Amino acid sequence: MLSKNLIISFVGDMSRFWRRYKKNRGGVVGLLFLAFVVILAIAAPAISTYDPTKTGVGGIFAEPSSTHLLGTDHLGRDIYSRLLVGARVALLVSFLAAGISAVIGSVVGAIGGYFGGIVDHLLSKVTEIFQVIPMFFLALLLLTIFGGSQWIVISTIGVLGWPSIARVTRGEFIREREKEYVQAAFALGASNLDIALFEIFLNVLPPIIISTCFVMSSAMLTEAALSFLGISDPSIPSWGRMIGDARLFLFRDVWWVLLPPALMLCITTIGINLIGDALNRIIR
Amino acid sequence: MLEVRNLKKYYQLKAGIFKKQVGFVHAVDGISFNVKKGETLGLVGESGCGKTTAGLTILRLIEPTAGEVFFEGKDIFKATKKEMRTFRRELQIIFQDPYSSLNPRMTVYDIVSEPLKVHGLARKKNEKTEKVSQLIKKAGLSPHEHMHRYPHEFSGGQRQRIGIARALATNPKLIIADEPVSSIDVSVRAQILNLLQDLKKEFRLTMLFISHDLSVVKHVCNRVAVMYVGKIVEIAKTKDLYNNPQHPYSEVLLSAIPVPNPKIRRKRILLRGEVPTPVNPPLGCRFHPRCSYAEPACEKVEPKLINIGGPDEHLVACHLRK
Repeated sequence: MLSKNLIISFVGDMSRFWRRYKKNRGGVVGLLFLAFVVILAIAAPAISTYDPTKTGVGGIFAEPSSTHLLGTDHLGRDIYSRLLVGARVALLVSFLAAGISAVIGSVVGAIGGYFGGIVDHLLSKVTEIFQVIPMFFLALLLLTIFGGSQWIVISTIGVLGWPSIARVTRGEFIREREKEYVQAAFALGASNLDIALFEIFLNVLPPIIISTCFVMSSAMLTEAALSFLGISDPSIPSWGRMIGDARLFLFRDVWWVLLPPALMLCITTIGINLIGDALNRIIR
Repeated sequence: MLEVRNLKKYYQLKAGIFKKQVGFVHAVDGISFNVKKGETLGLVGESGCGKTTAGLTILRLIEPTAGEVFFEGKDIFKATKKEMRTFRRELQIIFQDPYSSLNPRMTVYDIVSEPLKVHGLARKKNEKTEKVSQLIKKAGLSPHEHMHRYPHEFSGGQRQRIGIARALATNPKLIIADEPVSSIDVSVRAQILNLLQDLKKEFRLTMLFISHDLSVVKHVCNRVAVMYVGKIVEIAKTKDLYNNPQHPYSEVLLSAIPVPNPKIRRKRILLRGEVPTPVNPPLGCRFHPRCSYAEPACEKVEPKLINIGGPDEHLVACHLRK
């Protein structure tokens, strides 16, 4: 009975939420964009036509045709297949990196906002320091030192992306901390951890999710930029790397090398940002 | 059962870019009273006189500046963490605002079962569900219908019932009711007050009832303490206070109670001036700038609470009553 009722109320909440969400046109477009990319990424093994890393599967710079839907690049690799796997890479990197940022950011922000005083002061300073460091150059530095394997790219972007989430979380915690239900929990004898985790965190989750959305799209762009500069694993077909490769051949009038990955990158990041904006509208 | 001795709570006032301390807000400035087992003591005063602060400080939800609070002989302010857990179970609070005192993301079940969880009072799940539905029923809601709803689905009165169910969950001995009906619609106030009365009898509760509504206090309390700018000016049995107020402030306060019968003309005492700020309370008796009986001594010497009622204990802090 208990779980059934909970599920009913959850489903009710979700349907109410969806009714409001679908009124936001931008949000719906964003969701369609992202759904498109996610579906491509999931279906990649089934719908790709060639091994994305294999060279010489067609001629060099073959034009789009029925055998190579989007043509081939300077090493004769099939661009359509690379694009699909690139979707997986982009989503994986941005999702995991944003996840790392969300965990670090919400823990740091929660501790600072909850306890206040000197602890908050110190943590805020640390957050600010991370915020003023030019994140991209630090990532470049770290990746040149540790090498550019995919996991290192993910953790570097994740570790550098948390300050904005920490600030949002801190602000929300400070606001919620003053509410009477927190005092009520104290009066019941609940511990700090209980209060922070089970009382306040539930209430500050929406803004954290929204700021994580924006961190996710910027993580995707950072990954693309790093690959563009050639600082990531060259055997992994990433959109940024494809754009970076294409840059060298712009004079040869081979638009199909550049345009598809650039468009994909655009619609994915725009999609995520539109979703973030829509969620933001709804909760405010 | 509960004894408050010389309780003080000052807030620091800081100003300027360097956060220089420029003074104190004397929110609660040395109050003493006791609540006897089984009785309801009313703590009344205007808004801003420190009565809510006093309530929260007694429970250590705000750290006190000075003073002692004894509950069944043990000092709450000196309690260790472990002793504090016991106090938290035996002392509960009902908040003024049933809107902000319930977590909007928790269901009624979560809210009422939280104290059980925190104190490990019902370990098994069905035991907990059973207990929660009992409490909800006692508070006058329907467990079947209301248990898994969120606070925003309820009216103010119903929300306060949820707050009451939560406060009763630990089977407390003393409840501090901080203006439990002041933010509730007038039409349901009486229901909530009667509920509190019934539960008080059933659970053998002792209650500290904080309120600014004198007609409510008259209905609910055995004894009443009147506060003015952080100090207690008079404590007496409800009947004695209402029929025979001794402190000039109490007299003024009681004359302001609206009378339902329009034919009765009553003398209302109008005060001059404003309530003094608790940052710089007047020297001597705090009421002297507004008191129509003030004597020179009132400006200099602070009156002490003294008993003028013999065995019935009628305490008053006024130079004119000796």
